[in-house]
This record gives sequence, structure tokens and C-alpha cells, in this order.
Amino acid sequence: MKINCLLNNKQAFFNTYSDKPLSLLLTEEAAITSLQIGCGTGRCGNCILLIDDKPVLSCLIPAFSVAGKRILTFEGFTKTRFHSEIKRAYKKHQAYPCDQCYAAKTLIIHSIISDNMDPEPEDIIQALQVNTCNCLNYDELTQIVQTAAGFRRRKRRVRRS
Amino acid sequence: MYEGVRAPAVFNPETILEALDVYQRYPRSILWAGGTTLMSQLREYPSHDNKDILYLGGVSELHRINRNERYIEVGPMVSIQRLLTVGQHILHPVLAHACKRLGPPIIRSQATIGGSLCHPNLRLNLATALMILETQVEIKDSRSTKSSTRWVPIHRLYKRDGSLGLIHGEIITRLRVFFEDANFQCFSIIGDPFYHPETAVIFAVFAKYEKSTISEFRFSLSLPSIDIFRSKEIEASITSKDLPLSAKEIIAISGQLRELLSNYSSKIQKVQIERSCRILEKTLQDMNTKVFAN
Amino acid sequence: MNKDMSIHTIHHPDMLFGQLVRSSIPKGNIASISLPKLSDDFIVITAQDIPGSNSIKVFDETIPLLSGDHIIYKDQPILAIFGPDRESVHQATLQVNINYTIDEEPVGAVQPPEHETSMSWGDCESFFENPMNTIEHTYMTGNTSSVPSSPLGAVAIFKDSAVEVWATTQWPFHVRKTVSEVCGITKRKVEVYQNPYDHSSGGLLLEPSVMAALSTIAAIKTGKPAKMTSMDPVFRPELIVTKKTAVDQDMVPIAEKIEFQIHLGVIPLFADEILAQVMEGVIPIYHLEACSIQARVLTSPTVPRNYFFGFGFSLGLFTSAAHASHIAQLSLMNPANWLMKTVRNSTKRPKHLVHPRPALIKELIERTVERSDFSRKYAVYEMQRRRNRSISTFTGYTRGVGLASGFGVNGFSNTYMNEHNYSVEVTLDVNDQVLIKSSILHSSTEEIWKTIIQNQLGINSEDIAICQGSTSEVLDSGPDILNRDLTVISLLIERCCESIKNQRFKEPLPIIVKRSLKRSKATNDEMKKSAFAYFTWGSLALEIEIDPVSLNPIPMGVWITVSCGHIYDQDRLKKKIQARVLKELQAVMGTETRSTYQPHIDVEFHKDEDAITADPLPNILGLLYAAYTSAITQALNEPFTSIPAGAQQVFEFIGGKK
Ligand SMILES: Cc1cc2nc3c(=O)[nH]c(=O)nc-3n(C[C@H](O)[C@H](O)[C@H](O)COP(=O)(O)OP(=O)(O)OC[C@H]3O[C@@H](n4cnc5c(N)ncnc54)[C@H](O)[C@@H]3O)c2cc1C
Ligand code: FES
Repeated sequence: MKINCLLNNKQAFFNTYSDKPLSLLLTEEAAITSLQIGCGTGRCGNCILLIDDKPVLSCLIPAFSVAGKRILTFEGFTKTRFHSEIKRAYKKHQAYPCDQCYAAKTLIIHSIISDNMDPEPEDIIQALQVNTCNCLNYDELTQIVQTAAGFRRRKRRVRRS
Repeated sequence: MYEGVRAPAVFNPETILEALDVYQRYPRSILWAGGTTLMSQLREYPSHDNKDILYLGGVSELHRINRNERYIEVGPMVSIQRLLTVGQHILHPVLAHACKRLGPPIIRSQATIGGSLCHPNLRLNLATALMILETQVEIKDSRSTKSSTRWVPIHRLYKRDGSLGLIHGEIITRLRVFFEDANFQCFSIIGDPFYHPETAVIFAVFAKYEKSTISEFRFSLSLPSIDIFRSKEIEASITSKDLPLSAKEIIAISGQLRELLSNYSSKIQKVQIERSCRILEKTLQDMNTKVFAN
Repeated sequence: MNKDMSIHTIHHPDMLFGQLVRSSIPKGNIASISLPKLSDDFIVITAQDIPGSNSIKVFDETIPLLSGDHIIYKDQPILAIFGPDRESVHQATLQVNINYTIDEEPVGAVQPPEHETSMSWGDCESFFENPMNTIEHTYMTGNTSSVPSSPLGAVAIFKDSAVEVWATTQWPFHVRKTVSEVCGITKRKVEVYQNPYDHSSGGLLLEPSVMAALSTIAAIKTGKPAKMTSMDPVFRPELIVTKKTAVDQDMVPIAEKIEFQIHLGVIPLFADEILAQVMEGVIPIYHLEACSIQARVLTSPTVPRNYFFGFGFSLGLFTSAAHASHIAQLSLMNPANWLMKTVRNSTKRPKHLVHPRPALIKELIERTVERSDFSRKYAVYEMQRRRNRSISTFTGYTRGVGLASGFGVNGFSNTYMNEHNYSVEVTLDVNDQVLIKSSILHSSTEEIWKTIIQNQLGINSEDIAICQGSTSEVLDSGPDILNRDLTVISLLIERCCESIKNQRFKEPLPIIVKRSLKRSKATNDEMKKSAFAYFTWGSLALEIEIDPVSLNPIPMGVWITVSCGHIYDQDRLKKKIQARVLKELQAVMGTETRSTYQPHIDVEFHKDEDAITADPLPNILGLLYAAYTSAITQALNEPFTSIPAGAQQVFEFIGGKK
């Protein structure tokens, strides 16, 4: 099946198996290296990327459904201005996700604060629950998200003024 | 690439009529909604059966939500998250809770109502909650030359043995959930119904009482890989009782459930029976507490 | 290719994908194999196609790489198919038809006679002739499997008559040896690079070597890069320990008979080391006048078991610490006081065993008891236990609290260490820059090692590099087991630094120092006596609540006090412990746990700067299992003796009571 999409802001074309999981498609056929493929069944939450700005588990996304969509992997995200806010939040709390889940957690945090720049702890935990890696606990994660949200609010205020 | 392998064809209809037409011409194809169930079973990618895919995502009619004073009508392609957001103030609490407990938000945004009701082997949150609400399901059949449409109460979606009652060739096209007030509604999940259905239990209650007499009590109990259990007998024995229920009454009702479940299916696990009785006891106690609080 | 690349992200345009076809029977012979018609783009590898030796050796054990005609265990690899993409290869494997003649022989577990051991001190029998009381329990660790959290695999590239291999291995030098022997090429022509892997999943020794060898054959035969990955579950060994203790009228143990068996699947890989480690774990820390231990290894035609995070020491420690708790509970004394009373110095215990340090244990227990409010909680829950209250939805939750204390060993026993010589090299070059060479690859080590060098040689961290090259660039530091990165290798680096410090400003640069793991280098006299050179002491309390509806045991809090020598980065270690404890709690609670609930995990390090730095995790995990089951025992008022222990097991208990 032939698929055109926008991958990390560049046009991409695939001739692939129609229900191939997006995670495999991108690692095997697009040289995307940031994607961690774990369980392949939606349980570990390590394979997150953004499709049309919304986070998804790429192992649960069939190739055919991304035709015409905008895919942003962690590689692409690091080139956006949003990455630095989250990096600064990690640094501020001296708490970093492990290598396995760094990309996934960072993208979830980005999507939380994109939806709501003043998220409640309950929403933060709910959203991050999809990633089952325990390297950071929920207290740490809540603080990181709130700090990152604060950075984004500040940036927005500065830009407005 | 993909030498000797025939990849599944993907059909992308835009209307229900088109979808039915494709389904009629390619009856072996699988209906594809959010794909969360279908993809999470693809551990052995690529799957063995290689069926063609009839993707319902492009059919705009299936994404609609309408309401009037009597009911809310929802298309099967509405995602669980969207139903929660749109229906925030109008959904029955038991239904809203069933949606909220359906996996993490990322899953809820992808999973659809139709997909949740039509899991081939599992009876999950939505089916359990909708079973005790007055819910009608519209089914269209692609096999007859003039596509036939029928409305059935939700329990008729499943056969007596708990399996999905849809015949291959049928598509769910709409759901109608009638508004109804209740004094007490609750929804609980014990265990993990999706990944460990053999020990899990899903439980939903919808009850009305006047003054302190129970005037109506409905419950449904999903033993996810078996069936959704309902018992008119237990419902009747609770209805017309006065609140608060005494410990003795609660234990008697739970004993009744234990007995019924013990003879219900050979597939039921003892731990599921125990959990079912305990969740019923706990719920009846919560109902007592709620009456006291008022 | 970059060192941090996961195996699944390595891709080359014309790369071949491989998949194994495994046996569906446990024992028998292959009568015939029928293969699908495949184009020239595919290649099938059977035992006959192996250019070198069709076997994998790990120390003294050998296992066939591919089965040949004879099947010796279920899921044994029979052949591999490589092709242009995973989809068509998968399709091809589904079309392979194998006919077997099945052996009628029983396929249950058997005991290979050579792996049996025993130990004793004192005259155990005499104490059991007329004992005041005996307490007997059988402890079990179930057959648990886990799916790796990321794929295991290997990629082979054949170029200019040499081969480059990338593998998710914890021991690149084993991959190199296997590839060289299987493919019949000299080791010099095989370069192995490590890909990142998840330590806690296991399966990182045999599987990657199998996949690397087969991918190499495919790469040599076709001239194309070849890759194989797997997400097959890996299994832990199963341990059964029976403990019979003779106690006096105050419930103080006098003598103990211990029998254990450990099931390792088809080959008794690392059997003697495992026996030594479990043996060390099952021996209690309380004083015994006499003790006898019988131990054996069982094998069966099932997949080789993986050592997860050590060689069974933690499982052994679980049984001894849980048994201590059970006796303490029967004594009606607070287990903290009971432990402090029964642990004492003894000349009876053989010298080669780890000897308890009563003063240290007392301190560790006291700190744990204080922080967890153990004594008060224990008293309250004891009252509840003695009332024998059932777990009912009417009475609400039932709680229990457990306490365990003991030591943990690290890495290999000395018998093993004396037989194998693994090394690390540190170079101080002419620009005052440092380079470390080791085959242990773990990103979390980097900072720790840099801190050691910074402290010892005063060199900035930007000027310190860790050579993460292939087997031709680094030294064989042995299999990366038990997170030795934090412990043993760090110690070797420290020793290298000491030597550099002595030579610096006297000798010309570069100064290159290589240090090897040798038991005789252990500095602490007391430690020299023991079979293990690196160990830690700890105490752990855990509070649990049994949910009356779901019957899930829910940990409310964990309090850990450990003494593990000098710690380079306390915060990092604390976090590592917390994450691992959480993961292990989820595993021990059974399969159902995907909850947002996280118990409070409090970790305190006890200062013991003189001790050799060692990893406290094997110690903590054993104590965690023991405290967990003790807490459930108190909550249910029945001795709980097996892990995993979740709602199903709780239900079986209360069901039995009914
Ligand atoms: C990580 C994870 C956690 C989860 N946790 C829970 C949980 O706690 N509780 C719970 O209830 N569920 C849970 N789920 C399951 C989830 O509810 C289902 O996977 C989801 O609802 C299926 O919806 P879908 O749109 O993705 O269906 P799909 O996967 O697309 O389809 C599912 C089935 O429904 C059929 N189908 C779809 N639409 C129609 C239609 N209109 N007419 C007829 N047949 C149709 C399909 O052919 C297929 O057989 C979880 C899933 C995941 C991945
Ligand atoms: S790989 Fe997608 S959730 Fe685990």
C-alpha cells in the first residue's frame, strides 16, 4: 500500500504493508531511532509520538491510517521550541526519565501542557499512566509537568507582551 | 519488499451506504474502528488471517452525536474521550464513569464506542454500563439486497452464551441511550478486564428509591471473557426493600448471587465469584451510606 | 551506528530479517521438514548449514544452537529463515511443516546427579530427636515469566572477510566467542558492539548469542546485513525450599534442616554458582547450634531459565527472612526485638559463610523501626490478627506489617571469580585526559565512574571518556550481572586510579593501568573469609492492606535501611532502588497491577565508609519479598510462604479458611 504523510515536517512516502504498526514502519522504513518499541501491544507506553499534535501509541496505529497525517516523533520534537521547557523542568527537579521512556514521557508531558497550561495533578497522573516505566514517581512527574507548564505560560506572556 | 505476501486491502468508505456496499462485496473483510483491540492483538505481526480492512473512520455519519429531551444518540465511531467531553453534563454517571475507567486518555481518544461493544471475546466497560440503562442499538445488515435496518435492545447484541450476536455482514450504526434519573448509580472495575479478563469483574448499578424504599434496582456484572450476568431474581429481591439494608439482608443477597454464579458457567473462576459477591456487598453498603448522608 | 541505538532501530537498505522456527514438542526426533518454495531472496539455515560448531558454550555447559534431528526441549530452535522483510519471512515460517516422532519418555523434572550439594555444622539430628517445638514451612517462588521490555536481538554485517555484530547482550565477549565458533572464523575477525538493553528483563546471554551467530551465517552466505529480533518471554528459575527448625521454649531457634531444589530448564547453566548463591541466601542470620542443608538442581525439557538480576540469592534470602518472621510471630514477640535477640556472633557457623554483625543489624533494624513506626503498627495489627477477624466488606481493610533483615551478596562467588579473570583499564594520557575501557555498558555508570575519577585524580568530567567501542577496543569485564557496574567495576576503577595516583608526576604520560577481578584483592579481612567478596546489610519494613473487595494486597509503604559501603551518588542510587522496588512489587503482586497507586518508598543509607561498595539491590529484593509475605501473613493470620502473591493467592487462603 502506498502512503504519503508528513514526517517530522518533511514529506514522506512509504510503500508498505497496510496494517503494519506505525512503530515498526518508522523504525524499519524511515530510520527513526527515537522510538522505543517495547511490548508492541499498548501496554508499556514507550512508543509514543504525535499525530496531528495528539499523542498516540504508535504500536496501535496501523500504517494505512496515517495517510495524509502529520507525524512528529521525538527527533522532530527536539527541534521545536517546546522541548527546552521540558528539559529545563527535568533539570530544575534533577529528575530525568530513563533512556527507555525519555522520549515517551517527554511527549506526553508536552501534550498535557499543550492541552492545559495549568493541569491538575490528577490529570497529569492519568495522562502519564499510559507509560508504565517506574523510573520517576508520580510526585516527581507532577512537579516536572507543573514546572514545564509554568515555563510555557511565562514564554507565552512574554511573547504576547 | 513484501515478497509473496498479500497485504490486506483497505477500503475507506465515506457513507454508511458505501460501507454496506463494500461489506457486501467483500464479506471476509474486518470492520476497523479505532483499532485498539485489533492492533493490540497483532503481537505476531503480520497476523495470520490477512483479512481485508473496512475502515469506518471516514464515514462521517458514524461520528455524530445528537440529543433531544428523551435520549442521546451516538455514532459508533465516536471516541470514548469525545463522548466524555461532549456528554460531560448529560451522561448518566454510571456511563461517564465507565468511559473514564476505559484505559488511559490516549487509549480513550482512539477507542470507539462501537469497538468497545463489539470486542469479539470480551464484554467490557461500556457494554456493562449500557446494559442497565435503556439502550437501543441500530444494526444494518449488508447482506440483504436492500440493506435492512433494525433497532434492538443492547442485551440482544450478545447471545445467551455471552458471545457477540452480530452476524458477519452486520454493522452497528447508532446507539440510543434514554435519559432516566436514578438516586444511586455506581460503576466499578476489579482487576484488569482487558489484559487479564479471567480474574476481572466489572460491575454497574442503577437504583431508584422513594423515601427509603428501593423502587427499582438494576445491576449488571461482567465476567469479561464469559458474559454479562444479570439476575431478575436478585433485582426483584432487592426492590421494595427498605433502606438501610441490614447486614443480614446484604449477606443473604450476596449469598444468593454466590449460588447463582456457582452454577452459571464452568469457565467462571472462583476468585471472580468471590469478587462479585464482595463488590455487590460493598455497593449495597455504599447505597446505605448515601441514604444516610441525605 | 551510534552506541545508544536500540537494536530495532538499526536498519540497512538491503538488510535481511530472520525468524526462528521452534520445536512444538518437548522431546523426540524430527521425521521430516517441509519448507515452502522460496525465491533466491530467502535463505534457510538448519543445523547442516552451520559452518563451525553447532553449539553454544557457557562456561562448562554446552547447548545445541539448532536442534538437528533430535529435540531436547520445547521451543528449541530448529531452523531460521532470513528474507528481505519481516512480513514475508513470517509468512514463510508459517508454511514450514515439521513432522516429529515423539519420545514416550516422561518429560517431568529430573535431577542431574552432578549438581547436588550439601553443607552442615553441629549435630543437627540430635536437636531434632526431642525438640521442644519444630516449625516447618515450604517456601516457593513460582514459575514466573516476563516479556522483555524491549526486543532482544542482533545484527551482523559481513565485510572484507570480517564480521561486525551488534547485539543486546550483557556479555559481548560471549557473543564474539559464539560467533567465532559457530561460523568457524577466528575471534580476531569478529567485532561485537553492545546495544542498550534492559537489565531487569533477563534473557541477555544465550538468546543474543544465538541470534548473533545465525545472523552472521546469513550475512556471510548472502553478503547482506542480517538481523534477528525476539520478544519471546524469558523464564525465571523456580525454587522450592523446605525449612524445619527446632526451637526452645522461648521460640529461639536451635537447629535447622533445610532442603532446596531449583529448576533450571533444559541445561543447568551456572548451576554450581546458583547452588552456591541460593545456599548463602537460605541460611538464616539468627544463631543456630546446628544446621544441615541439602541442595539440588533440577532440569527438564523446557527452555533454559534465565538468571534475573543475580543467581537466585534474593530468592534464597526471601525464604530465610520470611521463615525468621514466621518464627518471630509464633514467639509473640515483636519481630524486630526477636531478630535482635536471636542474631549473635557465633563460632559455630562455618568460616566461609557470611557472618552476621549483630551491632550493625541492630542499628539497621532500629532505624527502620523508627521511621516506619513499626512497633506501634505491629502491635495494632497483632491485636487484629489474634481476634482472627475475617476479611469482610463490612469490617473494611485488613492490614499487616512485615520486617526483614539480612545481608545480600553481589556478583559471583569467589570460586567463580578465581576461575575467571575480568578486567578494566584506565589510561591517563598526555593531555591529562582519562579513558576507561570496560565491556560493561550502562549509561547510568558513566557519571559514577566519572565521579570516582574526578575525586581521585582531580580531572574534570569533560576530560574523561568511556570507551564504548567494540570487543576489539574494550576489555572483557565479564557478563554484566547484578548491576556490577555500580559495585565491582567501580571498585576496579578506583584501584586503577590509586595506581595512577602513585605513578603520576613520577612516570611519563600516558599511564595505563589495568586491574582485574581477583578475590585475593578484597581488602576487608572479614570479607576475605566469606565466599563472596562484595556484600551489603539491610533491614526493610513493609506495610500492607488487603482490599476487602478485590482481595489485592496493596503495599502502603516500604522503609529500607541499607549499609553498602561508600556511595558515589546517593540520590541516583535512591531513585534506582525506588524504581526497582516498585517494579518488583508489581511483579510480586501478580499480574493484575496497572494502577496509579504508588506506595511511599523510604530509603536511608547507613554509613559504613570502610566497607567495599556493593550493590544493595539483591539484598533489598530478598528482604522485600520476605517482608511482603510476612505482612500478608499477619493480615491473614496464616503463614504465607510463596511468591508471587496476589489476589488469587489471598483468595485461596481465605477460601481454604472458609
Ligand atoms: C492499553 C489498553 C487498556 C484498555 N483498558 C480497558 C479497560 O480498562 N476497560 C475496557 O472496557 N476496555 C479497555 N481497553 C479496550 C478498549 O475498550 C477496546 O480496545 C476499544 O474499546 C475498542 O475500540 P476500537 O474502536 O479501538 O475497536 P477496534 O479495535 O477497531 O475494533 C474492535 C472490534 O469491534 C468491531 N467493530 C468495531 N466497530 C464496529 C461496528 N460499528 N459494528 C460492528 N463491529 C464493529 C471490530 O471489527 C473489532 O472486532 C483497553 C485497551 C488498551 C489498548
Ligand atoms: S510498544 Fe507501544 S505501548 Fe508498548
